[in-house]
Amino acid sequence: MYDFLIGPMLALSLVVFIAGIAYRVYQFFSITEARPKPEANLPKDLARTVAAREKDEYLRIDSAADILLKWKLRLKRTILGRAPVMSSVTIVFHTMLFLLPVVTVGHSILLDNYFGISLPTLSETTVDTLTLVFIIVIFFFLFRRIFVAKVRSVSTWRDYLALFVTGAPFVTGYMAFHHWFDYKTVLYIHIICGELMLIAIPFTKLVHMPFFILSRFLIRYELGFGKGSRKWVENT
Amino acid sequence: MAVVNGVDPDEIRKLLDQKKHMEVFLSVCVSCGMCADSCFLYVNHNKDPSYMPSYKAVHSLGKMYRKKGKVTREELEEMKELVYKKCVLCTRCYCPVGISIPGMIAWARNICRSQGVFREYDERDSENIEMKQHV
Repeated sequence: MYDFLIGPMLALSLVVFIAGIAYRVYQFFSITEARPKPEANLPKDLARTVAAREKDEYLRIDSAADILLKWKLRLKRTILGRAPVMSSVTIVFHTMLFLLPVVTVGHSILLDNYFGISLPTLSETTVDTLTLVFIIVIFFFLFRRIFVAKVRSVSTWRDYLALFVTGAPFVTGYMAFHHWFDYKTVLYIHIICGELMLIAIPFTKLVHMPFFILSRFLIRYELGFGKGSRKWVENT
Repeated sequence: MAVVNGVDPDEIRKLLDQKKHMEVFLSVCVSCGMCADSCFLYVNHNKDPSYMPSYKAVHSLGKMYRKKGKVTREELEEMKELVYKKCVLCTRCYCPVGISIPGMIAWARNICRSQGVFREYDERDSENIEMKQHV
């Protein structure tokens, strides 16, 4: 059972995960198109003026004094400044979501067995504490979804499913580490949950993992992170 | 001349199929509720959730996608208030995941219009009547 779960089953879920992500990336590029760049044909001076005007004059950093004086204004324009609690919790949540599975000692041993790669790890007590924090954050999200009116009004079963699929591997991993219930059963459930999460990413709301990066970095709009080389196809 | 009281699901379907990216938007929306505070109508209406940008998009265009265009006239009438009265298309709402919400509401308006559901400017505004009674 154990050999099957960490062997063929893991391979299958990884294949589904990677193929699904590849499909989603392909889908993104099929619903976007390269943006025409009229500013590229402008004379250099004019282009610089246009580029400067595109950035908000009020928030633009032109001098060293601006860096010191405008950070508060700039922060107010971001979600981190508008909703500090929620966004800091989200940052902690997503950082740990990616970090914790990688730095766990047990996972690192598996990785070493498979590919001979060894990644830096944190001590078991640290990972244990961080997992507990992570589980608390998951419950924060769950209660927020249930009790905050604005979130509840748009929540569907798919949102709860996404939260459940994300939380299950961490909760069962915590249980397995502390040898609650029958260790072997809990460990199997933990592995199955982790693989289910990988499979679920391209098909549930967790698809925001690739979509977030593609959309915020490639699409051109005021809040984009990147240069904005693409735009949505209006009629397909 | 289009049907007066019925709805033409095929036409809605055709209009929905034109916007592939909006279907993806709706499947990606994580319902985090972060867009709420970016809407001045939401802030100024006592934080009524039905003024939230994602609520307006999910309960109009999202509903049409979920039902594959087979919406009833009553549902369209409900959407009318959502897409015409509760949104002014100021395009100031932001989405952490990078979804463009105003485009979806505008397209929902377009679909409503194709079925003969318009904004009625001479409609009696129940809110205003109540307010006048208090004065």
